[in-house]
Amino acid sequence: MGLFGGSGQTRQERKAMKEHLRELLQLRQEALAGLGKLTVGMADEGRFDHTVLTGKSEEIAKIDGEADLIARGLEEKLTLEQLEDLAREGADRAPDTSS
Amino acid sequence: MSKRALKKKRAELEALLTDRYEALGEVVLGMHGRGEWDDQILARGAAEVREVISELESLDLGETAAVPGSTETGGAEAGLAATGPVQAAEPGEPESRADHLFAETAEHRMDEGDDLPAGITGDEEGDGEADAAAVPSEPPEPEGEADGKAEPEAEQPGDADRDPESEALGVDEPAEDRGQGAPTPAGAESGEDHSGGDGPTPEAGEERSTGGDRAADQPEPGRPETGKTPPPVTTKQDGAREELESVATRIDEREREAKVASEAARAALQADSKTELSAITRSIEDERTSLDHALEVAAKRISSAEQAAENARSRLTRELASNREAAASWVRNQAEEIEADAALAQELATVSYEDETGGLGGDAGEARMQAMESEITSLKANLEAEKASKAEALAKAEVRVREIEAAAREAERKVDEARKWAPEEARLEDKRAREAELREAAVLWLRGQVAAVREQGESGDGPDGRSGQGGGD
Repeated sequence: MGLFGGSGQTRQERKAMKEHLRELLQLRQEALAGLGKLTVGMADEGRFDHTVLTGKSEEIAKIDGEADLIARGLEEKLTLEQLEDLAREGADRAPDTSS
Repeated sequence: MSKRALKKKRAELEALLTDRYEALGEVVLGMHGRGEWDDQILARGAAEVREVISELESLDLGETAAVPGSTETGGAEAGLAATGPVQAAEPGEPESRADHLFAETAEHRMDEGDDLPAGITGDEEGDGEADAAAVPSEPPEPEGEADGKAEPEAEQPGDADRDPESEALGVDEPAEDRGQGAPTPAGAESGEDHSGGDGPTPEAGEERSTGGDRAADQPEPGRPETGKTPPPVTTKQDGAREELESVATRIDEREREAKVASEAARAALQADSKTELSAITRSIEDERTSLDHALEVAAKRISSAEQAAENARSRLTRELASNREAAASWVRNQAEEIEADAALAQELATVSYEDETGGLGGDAGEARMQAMESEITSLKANLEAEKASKAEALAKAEVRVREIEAAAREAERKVDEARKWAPEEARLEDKRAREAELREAAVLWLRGQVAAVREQGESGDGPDGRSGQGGGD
C-alpha cells in the first residue's frame, strides 16, 4: 500500500504521529474558533480587516498542511526521516509554487 | 425546568456556539483559500453567532430571574421562566411573566413540555393558552394594551373572587364558541411568534367575548333546565332557586373552564410538539450544513491527499525510469568493455601467434626458424669458445698468482731474514764508533802528552815535565 515499499515505521513513531495529529486537530479547532470570534468582533465593529483574517487563515492552513503530512505518514507508514524529507520537499516546493 | 435541564440546555448552547464559531472560521478559511472576501457573508455568519450568544445570555438571565419568580406563579414554579427570553418578565407582574414564559417555552423546547404534565396541570397550560387569548384581558399589561382587544368580561365583578389560576382560566369562559374553533394549531402558532396577539387568537378571543355575552344572555341548548326555571312561587324558593342557579351556573362555568383548559393544554402540547419539531428540524438543518461543510473539507483533504499520492507515484515512476536507464547504460558500458577486452585478447593472441610463427607462415617461417637455430648454435659455439678461453686464462692467471705468491713468500722470508740481521749490525756499528772515539781520545791524549814532554824537554824542567799537564788529565 505504501508508496515507499518496506514499512520502516516503528510502533513508537506511529504512536507519536497519532498523538501529534490529535494535537494538531485540536489546535486547528481552537484556531478556527478563534478566527470565528475574531470575525464576530470585527462584525461588531462593522469593519472586517482582511489582512488580519488572512494571517489567521494562513496559520490554520499551515496547521492543515502539517496535519495532512502526518496523516499521510500514518497512512503510508512512513518513518520520521521520510516525513522530514517530505516536509523539506514541501518547504522547497513552497517558494516555487508561490513564485 | 429543573437545574439539570438548564445545565443541559446551557451545555447545548455552548456547544452550538463553539460549532458556529468554528463554522465561521471555516467560512473565513474558505474565503482565504479562494482569495475572495465577502463581507456580507461574514456579517451574516457573525449574526448567526450573535443569535446563539444572545440566546445564551438570555438563558443566563433566565436562570437568575427564575429564582425570585419561582414562588410567585405556578408557571414560574414549573421552571418555565428559564426557557425563554425573560427580559419582558418583571417580578412585579407574575401573570405577564407566566404568559410570556409559556409562549417562549412552547416555542423553544420540548424538554420543558416534559415538565408541563408533571408540574403543570390543565390550569398552567391554561396560562399558555391565556398567552394566546387571555393576555388582552389584562388591561394594565402592555401586551394586552398593544393588542387592543381586551375583553371587558375579564374584569367582571363576578371574577373578582377568583384565584389567579381561575382568573387565567376565566378568560376562556365562553367555552361554547371556544370549543368550536379556538384550540387550533393556528392558535398555538400564534404563541410561537412571541407576539401573543396576532394570528387567529385575537379572533378567538373576540369570538369568546361575543360568545361569553351570548352565554350571559341566553343559555346553551344543552345546558340544564336550571337556567329556564319558571318564575318563583315564594321569595324563599326564589332565593334558593337563584342560589341553586348561581351554583349550577358556577358549576357549569367550572366545567367549561376545565374543558377549555384541557383543550388549551392539548393545543399547547401540540404547539409544543410542533415548535419542538421545528427546532429539531432547524438543528438537523444546522447539523446537515455543518456535515456538508465537513464533507467539503474532507473532500478537499482527500483530493489533496490524492494529489500528493499522484505526485509521489509520478516521482517514483520517474525514479524507476531513471534507474532503469542507468542500469541499461551500465549494461551497455559493460558490454562495450567486454567487447573491447575480447578484441584485445584476440589481438594479443594474434600477436603471440605471429611471435611464435615469426609473423609469417609456411616455408618462410621454417627458413627463418632454421636461420635462427643456426644463429643460436653459432652463438652457443661462441659461448663455448669464450668459456674455454676464459678457463685457460684463468688457469694461467692461477699459475701466475701462484708464482707471485711464491715470490711474495720469498720476499717476505728475505725481509724477515734482513730484519733478523739488522740489530747485530747496528750494535757493531755503535761499538766501532765508540772504539773510534776512544781511539781518537787516546790519540789526542797521547798527542798532548807528547807535546808536553816536548815542551818540558825544551824548557829544561826535569825529566818529569809533566807537573802541570799530568794533573790536568
